[in-house]
Amino acid sequence: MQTKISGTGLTKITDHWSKSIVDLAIDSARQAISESNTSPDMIIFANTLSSYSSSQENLSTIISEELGLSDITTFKLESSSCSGAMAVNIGHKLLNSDNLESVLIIGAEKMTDLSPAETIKATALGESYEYTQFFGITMNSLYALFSRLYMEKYDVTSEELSQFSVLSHKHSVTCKHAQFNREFSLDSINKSATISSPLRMLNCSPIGDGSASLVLSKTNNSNFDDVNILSSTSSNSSTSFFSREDLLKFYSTTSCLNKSLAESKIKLEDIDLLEIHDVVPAITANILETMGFSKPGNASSDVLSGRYDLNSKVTLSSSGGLKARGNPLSATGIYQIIEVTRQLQNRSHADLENKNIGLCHNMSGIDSNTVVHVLGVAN
Amino acid sequence: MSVSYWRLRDRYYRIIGSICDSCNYESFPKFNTCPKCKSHDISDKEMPHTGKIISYTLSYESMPGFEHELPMSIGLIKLDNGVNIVSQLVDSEAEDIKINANVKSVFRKINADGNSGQIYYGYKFKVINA
Repeated sequence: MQTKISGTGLTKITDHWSKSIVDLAIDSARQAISESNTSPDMIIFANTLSSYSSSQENLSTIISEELGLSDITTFKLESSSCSGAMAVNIGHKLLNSDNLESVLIIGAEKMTDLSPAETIKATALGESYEYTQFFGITMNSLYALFSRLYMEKYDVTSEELSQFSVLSHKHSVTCKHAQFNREFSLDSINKSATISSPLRMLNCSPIGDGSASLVLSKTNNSNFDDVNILSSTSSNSSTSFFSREDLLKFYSTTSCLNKSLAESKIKLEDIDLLEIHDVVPAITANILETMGFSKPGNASSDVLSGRYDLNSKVTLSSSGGLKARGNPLSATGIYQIIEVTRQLQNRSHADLENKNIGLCHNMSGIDSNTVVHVLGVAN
Repeated sequence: MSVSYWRLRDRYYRIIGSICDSCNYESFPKFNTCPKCKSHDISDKEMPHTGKIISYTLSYESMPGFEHELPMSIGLIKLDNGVNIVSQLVDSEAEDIKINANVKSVFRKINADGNSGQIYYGYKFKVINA
């Protein structure tokens, strides 16, 4: 039996000053339920910041009540930045092992209620408190340390890696729910303010509020084509990337990809659509090279040659990815799956042809915990 | 934070990591299960206080309480026993902070609970010119 994606819903990613985390979650969840023409048996709420940013827990119960859904199983799942995809992974497993017909997955993150310094701390909460947060080491600093290791190993410059930021913004121009609907030139990206050298502001994924929801079900009652979860895999590695034997090796991503290809019985070259955890350029490059879409050290030059453009064989982040669509942490993995689903159903912002298989890769930290989904239209 | 700081002070003052009693694997952060051989026979081990920079960054954004440190130099350091540690770099000229620069640990104030609260101390690193 395969899990079908029978409902999708999302909010624009932006500064939702007038909306709470519950308002955002309700907005996307109602859309997904409406599309699916079902009433879910279970709700999994994916979130990682609510204690810190909204002083609120027990949100799965609160949101279920606000949706008018009672006498069902509902709980929150927290797994840092991959909470969204992890909730889909767990929902898929439960749907296939329990007496359930449909599961509603809601991912939501409220990031703009915090002060700028608190927001910076919020994005680092998934890293070790004792060894990084205590010392004031930010998430972007860890990404920067990783980026320089990558640049040194492959003799690639940060200016070359910024091609990924150009690509993300090019893809999000027509995507209405993306945080940014504008392009940036390579020059303007490379002249933007330094956040944590070598990373500049326009290399880093932005801060934004957002919510995305999915209904997973055994039968598809929606008005859209069947999209199936062909595989759903997860794998964890060490929390701190700097304690690994090979600092540039993405162990969890490698394991997820191998398990995904085996489970879905597809080949790497069958994949048409890619949504990966493109949080900063060197991480994006390393994911693509780990998965084998680019040769080691070549990903940024592949971007320049058009390999990952909208109308190429393998489209990367067709709605702008974490950089330009936005990165409301726990909702991000669900935005990725919705993007692929709607592309496969020919109802996304970009009209891409001949797309049949999509891969979504969502991770917490620097490949500390990774989830990969392969989606395909029904045969 | 005061209780957790008290619990961890020795780690922060002396850079105490772990060594596996079965396979001699060493690490900082500490561990309870050896990542190499999965043994539970683990002892505390003071890490070397010297090493080399293998990556570095200059950060212009801060968490609450670290605003006065900006811009903050941070290094990824390979200690002399091969263990990697991330630390703030202090007392070093910008041009000296580069790959393969030799560094040693120094004992510094990390943060404080306001103007009259507890002060937290721990390790930072500085470049030592050969």
